[in-house]
Amino acid sequence: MTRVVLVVDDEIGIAELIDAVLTDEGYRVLTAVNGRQGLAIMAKDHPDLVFLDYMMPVMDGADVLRAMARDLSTDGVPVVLMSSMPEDLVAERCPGYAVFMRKPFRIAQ
Amino acid sequence: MSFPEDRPPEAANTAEAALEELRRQNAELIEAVAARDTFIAVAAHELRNPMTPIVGQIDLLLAALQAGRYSSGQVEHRVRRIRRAMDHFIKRAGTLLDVSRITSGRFQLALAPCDLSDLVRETVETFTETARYSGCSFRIEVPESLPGAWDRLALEQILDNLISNAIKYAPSRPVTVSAEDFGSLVRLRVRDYGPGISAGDRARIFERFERAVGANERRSGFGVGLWVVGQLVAAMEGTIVVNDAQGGGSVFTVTLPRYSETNRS
Ligand SMILES: Nc1ncnc2c1ncn2[C@@H]1O[C@H](COP(=O)(O)OP(=O)(O)OP(=O)(O)O)[C@@H](O)[C@H]1O
Ligand SMILES: [Mg+2]
Repeated sequence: MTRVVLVVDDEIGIAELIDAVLTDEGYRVLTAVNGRQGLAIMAKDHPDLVFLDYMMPVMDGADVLRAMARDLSTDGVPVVLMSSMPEDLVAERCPGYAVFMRKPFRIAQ
Repeated sequence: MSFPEDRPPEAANTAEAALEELRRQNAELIEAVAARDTFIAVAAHELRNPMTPIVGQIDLLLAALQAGRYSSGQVEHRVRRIRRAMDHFIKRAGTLLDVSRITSGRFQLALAPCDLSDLVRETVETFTETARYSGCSFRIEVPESLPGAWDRLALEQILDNLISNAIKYAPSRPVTVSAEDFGSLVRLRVRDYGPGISAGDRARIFERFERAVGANERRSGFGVGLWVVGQLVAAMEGTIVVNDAQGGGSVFTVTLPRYSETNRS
């Protein structure tokens, strides 16, 4: 079965880049422009993995992680948290992500 | 401080005044250097960020082409995305160039005949993909034609910043861009259905590097967009105000002379 990955980032360029990499790897990729839209897609499409930007308007990465933890259907879904800020500045506000990715990144990562 | 006996008191005063003047100049220079350093840091960041998707997409395209994996349709799709990311990059660089020109007093308007209605339609067009991604739809309200003489690049920069803010701060909502004819004046408006801007923040957001979102930063951007807009509008002898829109959101209203003094002479 095709694995589904959700990318939540307000910057279209970043979302499209991750989309391109993962589509080439054979994943089905969905994108959302902010946390609110991201959660709506999670409820409907049940992604296997989420790439989540920290800085976003409407609902940021920390808000999304908290909402995910409260919901049984999203609680166990691994999250790759992305930010241009160093991890220690972001981590204290963000419960339960799996991996941290510092922006800007290169696709070899 | 003590001075030799034979020195007249005026000389001491003059020396003291000169010293004071040097101290003041020194303080000003320190401030100017600090401002320049901030600007360089901002510029570097602003120019590096949009490069990530460009370099990434090109690397990906190269790898796929080497492996002979892409159809020509896929190649075209990817190249179009790269093209769009480049346009975005050029816009950001243009903003920074304006900041530098305005700060150093080297900014000059280049007035030429142009149609404001066409300019609105064309600028909105460049946002099609970005708006689709953030779920915004545009409404354009312009007369068939609205000719005048303006600095086209400055107008584009103004509209561009106001529209990108609307998409960024009021996603998933409609955005209305309008232009109206008031004879010797024209009025440009960008209206969104976002959170609006509190009365306390309304003046502050036009300052350089000021952002309404505060220390608990949630958005990318450096707070120079509206400063540049304000400076360009002032250079064109116009005005800009922001208000709460009826039914929620903000409305930015730019009023500009249609033919400026320089043009008439
Ligand atoms: N349409 C809008 N709705 C709500 N808030 C806005 C809107 N436009 C601007 N703001 C607020 O005003 C601040 C300053 O805007 P400005 O465009 O100058 O900078 P920016 O968008 O933060 O960064 P950039 O330099 O990338 O444009 C923003 O940070 C935001 O808080
Ligand atoms: Mg802006």
